[in-house]
This record gives sequence, C-alpha cells and structure tokens, in this order.
Amino acid sequence: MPDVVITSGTVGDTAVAPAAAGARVADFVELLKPRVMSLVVFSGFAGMMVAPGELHPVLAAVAILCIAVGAGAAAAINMWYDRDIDAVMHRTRNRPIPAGRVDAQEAVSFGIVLAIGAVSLMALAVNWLAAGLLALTIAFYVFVYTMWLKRRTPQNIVIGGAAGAFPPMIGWAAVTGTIDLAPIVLFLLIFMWTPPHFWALALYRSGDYARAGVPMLPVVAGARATKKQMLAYTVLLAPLALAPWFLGIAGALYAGAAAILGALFILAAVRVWYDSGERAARQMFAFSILYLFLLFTLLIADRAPDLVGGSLT
Amino acid sequence: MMDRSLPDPPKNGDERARRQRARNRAVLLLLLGMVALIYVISIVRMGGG
Repeated sequence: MPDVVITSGTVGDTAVAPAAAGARVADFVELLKPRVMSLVVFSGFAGMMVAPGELHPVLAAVAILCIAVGAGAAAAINMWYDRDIDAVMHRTRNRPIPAGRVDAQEAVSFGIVLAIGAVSLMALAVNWLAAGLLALTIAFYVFVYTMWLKRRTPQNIVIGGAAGAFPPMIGWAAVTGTIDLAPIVLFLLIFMWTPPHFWALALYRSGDYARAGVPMLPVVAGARATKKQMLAYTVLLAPLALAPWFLGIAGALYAGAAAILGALFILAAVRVWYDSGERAARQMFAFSILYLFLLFTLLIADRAPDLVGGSLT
Repeated sequence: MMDRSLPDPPKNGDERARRQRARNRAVLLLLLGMVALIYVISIVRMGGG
C-alpha cells in the first residue's frame, strides 16, 4: 500500500481551512476522544484498585488524571496524523481537523504539550515507573500503531492493541512501584479483547476502511476470515479472563461472572459467524464494550470490601 | 424604518472574538488548576503521602 503523503493543513489534494471563527473549546475536548478515554481511565482505575498497597487519594486521583490526559494526548496526535484518512471515512469525517474546525498544527501541538505534561506530572507526583509506562503507552499508540502499523498490515490492531492494554499496568505501577504477573494478566486480557472488539466494528465499516486505504482484516482477508479470527480470540479470551481468580486478585463473584460473560462473548462471535448482515457485528461491538466494563467492575468490586460489604477472595 | 444601505454587522469577527475569549478563559482555568494541583501534590508528598 502506498504511503499517504501529508502536508500541513491539507487532506489529500483538498485544503482544509480552519474555521474563520476559530476553534471552540469543545473542539479541543473532542480531539481527546473522550469516549475512548473513559474506558482507558476505568481500566487504569481497576489496575490501581486490585494492586496491593496504598496510595494517597490525592496522588491516586492525579495518577488517573495523568492516564486520562495521556490517552487524550495520544488521541489528539493520532487525529493529526490520520486527518487525511479521517476525511474520507464516514465515521470520522466530522472530527475537528477534517471538518476544518481545528488547525492541524494546533492539534498536534496540543497533543504534544498534554503528553509531556501528563508524563511529567506522573513522574513528579506518583513514581517514575508509572510515568515511564505512560510515556511508553503514548509512544506505542502514536509511533507503532498510528504511524507504522495502521496503514501497513491487517494485524494493525492486534499489535497496536497493546497501547490500550497498558492502563491497568500503569494503575498497578502507580500503587506498587513494580510490575508482576497480575498486571501482565490484566494487560493480556485487554490485548486479547481488542481484536474481536475492533474487528466487529471493522466488519460493518469495511467500506469506510477500504475507501481510506486502511488494510483492516475484513478489507484484506474478507469477512469470513475475520469472523473466524474473532471467534478464535473470544475462545482464547474466555479462560484468560479467569486468570485473575487463579492468581488471587479476584474472587468467586468475579470468576462466575467472567465465565458467563466469556460464554456470551463466544456466543456473540458465533452469531456473527452465521450472520451475513451487519446486525450481529453491531451487537457484538456493543457487547464487547459492556464485557470489558463489567469484567473490570467486578474486579474492582471484589477488591473493594468497604463498598460491597466484604471481599470474596 | 431600517436603513437597508447599512452594512451587516461583523458577525464573524464577533464570533471569532467570543471563541478567542472562551479559549483564553479555558487556558486560564487550566493554568490555575495546575498551580493548585502542584501545590496540593507538594503538601501531600511533604507529608509523606
């Protein structure tokens, strides 16, 4: 696939002039992809909650803030780099840069300043390991996923998914100052969840990705091969989701719910396999978000005896 | 009766100024928030938190 040449302030051959009235504050907020940020923050919070040890509530709040701002910064830089393909995709063409509401250079400057600020604050307020992991996460998302993999390989979101899997590890590192097996399992959980989640979306947006020249799996290998891989990932994810229980960082409540949720996720993938339309893929995409949200909610609930009236571990 | 020969008011300029003021206020709030945050972090860290 040919690389797309990007010049400042242009989308392909079409110049995108910033709005004459200038950007609104809300446009800069939109650059941070707040919806994506919410799941990242939640998984980071879960990592902090399940970690052994204590962190002052103010410093814990600062760590969450840094994870949120870091994720937003990476999103802003991603929108700057992808402004050419965003402009030709239905899902993304109304984003602030392709819509001409924010100047591309302003957006990337905004992202870089926020990234440096988030990592610096994490280092000063929390610890260097958490700051290093946050920097690694941002760098991985921007350089490895956005700039290197996304336009080159159908495995883009498999490898690039690691960026979204780091937040629980950052949360854990913020509390303990170390990394061990438990946060690695939480990392793997999100890592294995990302492909079926993203490919469900890609199945019903494959036209968009094809038009933009992004080699998503449904575009390159077809719907059948994508559905087969989605099913394989959900089958592998189901036992992996029980690992926190085996490791003792979650209790029976979590284990039971993870088993049921895992079975439902597999069922969703089976329904996608047999569905020739878009409906099952749309439902699986929506369920995948609920799946991860519930899994991490249960992890938190199991480790928050004051909130739920007793740990089940 | 309205004089139709008068030019329209500069709506775009007004909107631009309004958005600029909103952005300035947001930056001011962020800076004040950062100062307060660094202050609180310093107190917590010095207290052994």
